[in-house]
Amino acid sequence: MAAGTYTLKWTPQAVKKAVMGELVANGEIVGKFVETEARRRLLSIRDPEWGMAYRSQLVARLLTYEMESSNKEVTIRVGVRPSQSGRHHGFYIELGSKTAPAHPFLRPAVFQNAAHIVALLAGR
Amino acid sequence: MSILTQAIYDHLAADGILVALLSSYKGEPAIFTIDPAPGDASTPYVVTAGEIVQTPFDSKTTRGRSLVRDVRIYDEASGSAIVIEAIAERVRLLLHRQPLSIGGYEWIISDCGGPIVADERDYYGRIISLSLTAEEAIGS
Repeated sequence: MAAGTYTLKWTPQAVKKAVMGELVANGEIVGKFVETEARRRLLSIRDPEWGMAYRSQLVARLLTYEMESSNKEVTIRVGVRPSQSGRHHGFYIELGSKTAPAHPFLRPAVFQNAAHIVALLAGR
Repeated sequence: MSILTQAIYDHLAADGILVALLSSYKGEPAIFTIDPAPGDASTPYVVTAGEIVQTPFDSKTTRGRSLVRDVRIYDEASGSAIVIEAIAERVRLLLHRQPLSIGGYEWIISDCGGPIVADERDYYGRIISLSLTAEEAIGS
């Protein structure tokens, strides 16, 4: 090779691997961020007062995130885990019911923070 | 009042097929923009009140909003979900990618997620999530 020239070798697999590794690392940060945001919103719900203990002691405790990665994608899920006492904790808080108003806490945690989430995924 | 509340109410209440499937409340179609619906309302009915998310949809020279709103449908659990599913499908048909007339705004796009099942002990429930983007009308 002549002095002053450089060879750049493009290896797609290595690039994909590096990007995937970064996404997985940053995805953990995103998952924790959205979980924290959702919990903050959940704990700020005041109505109905009789549901306060359910929200703060059960649903908030079951609120979590999980990540899955494969060769082609990284999936971050944030939600409320099932427990022995039920599979739909938080469902009717988020969506409301016939007799209780909706208090969305999961979707706003994502969509109100979309720009911030994209920045976190990019490592900024 | 949200820019969307009146628009959705007017759009749904103007559809004869949907109105025929719903009960009525004080002489009007049972489409409620308060949550929960009044206790003396009879099913089946629709509830849509307030945005789940509302974010700016601005450019250098324009102002707009992107919104997400749930449209919830309830009916008595009678052993058959035919009626509530017909209502849910009708609501989706009326809102999915259909232009809405919104005061002071120009509709850009809307689409529906669902319907998903949200059944309760004595009632069937179906929920449709409407995402909508609209831009402030020039001169408004």
